[in-house]
Amino acid sequence: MKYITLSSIFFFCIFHSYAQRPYTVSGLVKNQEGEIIPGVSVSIKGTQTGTFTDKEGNFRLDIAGGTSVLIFSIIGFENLELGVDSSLNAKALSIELAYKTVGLDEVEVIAESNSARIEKKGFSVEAIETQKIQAQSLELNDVLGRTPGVRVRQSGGTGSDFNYSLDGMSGNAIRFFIDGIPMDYFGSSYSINNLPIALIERVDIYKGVVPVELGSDALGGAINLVTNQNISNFASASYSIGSFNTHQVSLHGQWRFGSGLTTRLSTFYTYSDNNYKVWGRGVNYADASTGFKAVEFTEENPAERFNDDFQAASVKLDLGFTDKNWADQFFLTLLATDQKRGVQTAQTMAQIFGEMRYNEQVLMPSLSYQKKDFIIEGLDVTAFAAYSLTEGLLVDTTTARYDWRGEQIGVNVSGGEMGRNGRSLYTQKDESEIYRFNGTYQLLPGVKLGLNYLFSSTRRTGEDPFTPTFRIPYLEPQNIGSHFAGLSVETVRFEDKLHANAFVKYYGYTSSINDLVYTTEWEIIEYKNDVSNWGGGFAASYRVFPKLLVKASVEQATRMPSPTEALGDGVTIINNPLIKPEQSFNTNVGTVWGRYELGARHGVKIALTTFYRDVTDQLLFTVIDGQGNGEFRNINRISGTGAEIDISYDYDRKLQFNLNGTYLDLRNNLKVDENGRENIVYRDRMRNTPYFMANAGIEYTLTNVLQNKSKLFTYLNSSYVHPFFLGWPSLGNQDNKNFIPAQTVFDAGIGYTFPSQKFIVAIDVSNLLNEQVYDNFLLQKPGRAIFFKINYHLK
Amino acid sequence: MKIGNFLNWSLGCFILALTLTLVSCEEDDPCTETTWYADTDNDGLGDPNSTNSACEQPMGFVSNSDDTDDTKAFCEELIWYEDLDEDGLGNPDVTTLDCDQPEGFVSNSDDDNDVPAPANSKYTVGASVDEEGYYLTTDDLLSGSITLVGNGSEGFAALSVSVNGFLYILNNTESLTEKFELTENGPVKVDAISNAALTPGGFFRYIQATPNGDLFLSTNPNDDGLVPYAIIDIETFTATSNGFVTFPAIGAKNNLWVNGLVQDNKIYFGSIYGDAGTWTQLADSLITVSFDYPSLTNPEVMVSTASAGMTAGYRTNGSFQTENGDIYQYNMTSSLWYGNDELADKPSVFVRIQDGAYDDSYVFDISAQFNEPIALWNAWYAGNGIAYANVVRVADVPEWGDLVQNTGTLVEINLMTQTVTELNLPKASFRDIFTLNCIEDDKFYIPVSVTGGEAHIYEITIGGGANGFQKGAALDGSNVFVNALFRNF
Repeated sequence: MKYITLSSIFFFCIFHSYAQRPYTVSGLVKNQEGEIIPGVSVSIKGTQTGTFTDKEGNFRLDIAGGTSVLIFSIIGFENLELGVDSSLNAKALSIELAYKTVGLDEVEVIAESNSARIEKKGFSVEAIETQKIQAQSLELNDVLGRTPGVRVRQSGGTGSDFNYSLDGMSGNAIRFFIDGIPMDYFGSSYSINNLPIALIERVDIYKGVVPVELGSDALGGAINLVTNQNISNFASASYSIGSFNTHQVSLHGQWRFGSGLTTRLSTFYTYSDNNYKVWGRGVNYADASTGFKAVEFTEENPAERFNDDFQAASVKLDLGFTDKNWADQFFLTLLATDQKRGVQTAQTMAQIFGEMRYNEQVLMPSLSYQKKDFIIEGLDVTAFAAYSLTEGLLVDTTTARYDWRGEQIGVNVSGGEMGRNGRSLYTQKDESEIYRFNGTYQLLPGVKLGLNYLFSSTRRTGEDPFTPTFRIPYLEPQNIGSHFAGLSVETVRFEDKLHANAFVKYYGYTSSINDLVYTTEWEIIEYKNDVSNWGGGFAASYRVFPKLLVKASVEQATRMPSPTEALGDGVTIINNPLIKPEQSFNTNVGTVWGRYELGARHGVKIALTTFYRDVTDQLLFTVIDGQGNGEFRNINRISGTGAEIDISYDYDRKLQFNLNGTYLDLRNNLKVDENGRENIVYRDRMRNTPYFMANAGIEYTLTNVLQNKSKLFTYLNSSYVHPFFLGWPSLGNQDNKNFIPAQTVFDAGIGYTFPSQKFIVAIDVSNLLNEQVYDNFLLQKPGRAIFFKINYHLK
Repeated sequence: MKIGNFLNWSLGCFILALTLTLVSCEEDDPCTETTWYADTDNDGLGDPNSTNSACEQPMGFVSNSDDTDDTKAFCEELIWYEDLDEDGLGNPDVTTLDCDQPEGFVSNSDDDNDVPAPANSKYTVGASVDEEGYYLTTDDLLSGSITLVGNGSEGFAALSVSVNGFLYILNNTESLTEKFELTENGPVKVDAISNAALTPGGFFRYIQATPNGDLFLSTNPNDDGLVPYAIIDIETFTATSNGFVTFPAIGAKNNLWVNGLVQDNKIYFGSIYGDAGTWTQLADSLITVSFDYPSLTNPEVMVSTASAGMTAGYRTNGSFQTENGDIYQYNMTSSLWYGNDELADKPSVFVRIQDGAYDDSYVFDISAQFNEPIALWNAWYAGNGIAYANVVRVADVPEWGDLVQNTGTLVEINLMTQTVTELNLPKASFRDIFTLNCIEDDKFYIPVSVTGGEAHIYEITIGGGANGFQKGAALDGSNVFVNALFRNF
């Protein structure tokens, strides 16, 4: 049964004699609850011409003339057909789409979602809609890790350090954004491994080439978390409890008063003991009774992590106005986060800490402003300004020493577990400022200009009552600042078949870094550095056939050193006064085929991407002593190609099967080093870098289970990572090299949505087979864990 | 006169002959039989187990019974020492007596490590490649090439020692002292001791095998002047002692760096004293502190005013013992090492420790042999009073990084005649050689890695002078720096 409502301001279909004049139709698309729907395909029936609603649900479509029928379609809703003519020129339509009730005999083309819309821009991008998994108690890291070309490497359980690689580029080459704002200054609590999925509506993953509007110096790719931008009132709460005494509570709500005054609150609290079992190499104990021989724990008799508890609390409060004629959105925001955690190990499980702790607080006030048609029509602007104060405290003052039994095995009179330099109570204080301006202007029909400017600066100081000499440079202020400006021209041609985007980017980097020099006494020498760079690129997509999209992008990019890369962390990372920006040349070529219908119920979509990367002066952490301390250095030179394939198959729109695989062939491409020495590992595959990984997943959605209008969602996912060497592959006998073993991990879950659509309960099991898995060398990840989650959503 | 004598002689003979004739005729056949002993090997000594009674000595028999082995002729028996590893040196613990040299034995007892070498395991070569460690074993230092490509093991063997067919490696990455058996398939890990349980941080900088049959592990002092150490019994591979060595303060100065040498139940720690926080106010004399070993008690501070600076050595030990038991020691003066130039004017010297005290009569001023300021960065004893040292001209190394350029000159130092001879080897970097202990048949082997050029093992004839060397096996070179070379067998 179709249920179509048109609740329009006014609507008539009148034929006029001058109908052949071009006209523009625009409007806002909402659901039955009055919430805006971004990403709705709006197309002219019988043509390839169309557009999508933006993230505010608005659309705007130029029509050559005459009478046309617009088709509004998006997954999960009934299609809506609407006749239009020039009488609607410049009128704002209000469209309401009805939820789809799935009938067995109904099979429709799955509408293009946001992801398809973004894909068409020519960039190599994956967009992940979180709607389906909102209910599950998954971590964002886990969800993103299943995406082709993405590998997330975690050092442990909840809240542990993580490292993303996108098509082989990793570390700080990947930048994270939340609604286009760089996340670097939000602190480690408000980060991608911590944010509850409930707060995120969509995640865009750009691989390699990054568009100007994510104004930053990402050169390996960017991940943009898009939050819910609805202006309707709602409240939602969720609570999950699971293995290792893990709890997560999140509250999220918005209230808009009639005056446009709007308040938003998003808050979460996470706690976990992370006391999962570990064993094997590196996990041992020894004492006089064993002659100090290292006795390894085994799978039958494992050790338990005992100083790995993690808790993070975050409150984000927005107060402002929405939907006013002077601003679509204007918010004053205060973000406060607090994190406390135990630090269990150093770089590997071979070095263990029993009492070391890390605490971090962030206080970040900010202002944001958004306006469409700012002063003149077609000019859309957003502006953002923030101040961020981050205080991290590393507590390493104990004189006790521990082993994997969790027992105290002795005393270190100098104190401190981390280094030999005695105890440490080091506070690092970062004061940062961030300013961002973004504007787009519709210059001509089908031609859009974009400008993005981002300035950020950080002043880092330190304090420690136990100050060893080496730390002196970290106590005095060190500064780093960067400018980014980007200009883009975007055009749509040939009835929406061609999308093209050309851009130039400017990078400026200034720093003042302290070095310790002895002349007649210890003195701090300030190294000042001032570097600027230009980059640019091009991205385009062309729909060759209705079901075949070809896209390509190319960019020369620069990445400025991050505060920690340049200034060090005063603990295990020393500063590098001479550090240079990293440069990268990226190209991507891809095709998307489908969704192709096979009979009435089957659909297949295949995406294939290949890419080339050439990186010079890569900023890489280099260990410089036996205790894992090191500094970031510029490492030449890495280049290579890779390919990824993503196949999805759906049956009856209830069953979906996904398979993707990524292969990377990144090589050390430095022939002769700066000292004129030939490089023995020239052309070697990159060390400690996964190069083949695959994911397979199956999802099944059932409606009307037990109760009418209820929904049951189940999934089973498996991911595989091929083993890879820790060191250079060509060196040493292949049989006794250190490697990160293959891992095959299965995750499964089930979620049930009650008929009211307000309640959802879910159960998730990660690492179903309880395998011993590693992302990093000698850093075991958790075994099987079970989580139970309950969600309540009130509109 | 002459006729008279002749008559007398003749008469005497006649009477004698007559008497004998009368006697023999008197007893007719019967005679006195005696026991004769067989002398099959014709060495004049008879076999007591093979006898014959006869009046007359039978052919092949003798009257004595002194032969213990009548299958072979008597000779002077010698002690022979087993030489399983066929290095020409005998094992003092396995002997045999023989007149001639038995197969597999030699006459000397000079081998303190007579373990037969499995194929391809005679020497260990350690290397670093861009901060990563690798090592391999080989039988041939002289020909062909020694490469890490597809060969060897991962990990640093730079801090390691080889004893009786086993390799003991400080694995500071995993905080272990690992024991490897040297096999024809390369070193195979057989056991490990937890350094993390032995010392806070689980880190040791030096490992050495002592004459007491143990391994001594230590590192430089912490900020409180305490030196972490551990002693591992080699026989049982268990740690028998661990903790901190407490060094006496000298005035307001603390010990900043140490490395020890064990001799006659004493350990002599070369050191540098100064202000721990800043590495300034360095002592203006050479200081060695001795302790009883292995108890590490009774510290005694020994001072020499011959120069000043660190006597612990940098990568390798700054003290070594010669054949007669004297200890020789050199000092480091380089301002690159201290971060200041307090000692830059002090000479680089060799001094001698005899009977537990500095022998003030011996000071060999190496700096005086050069007409410009120099500094020593590592020296190794080769035998016969000859040491080899890495001499760096101060003018060539304004910065720390210059020490890994081709700024090192290898010199032969004759400690007895007090002469210094520059070897006509290519200049290279020797700063980061952590372990160098490869001496065989009066030859001293050293890796020479020319930055931006070739790298080879060189075989140096000990005491052979400026040109007494030959180029040996080729090393990988480029960014592979050979930082350890030692003999296993």
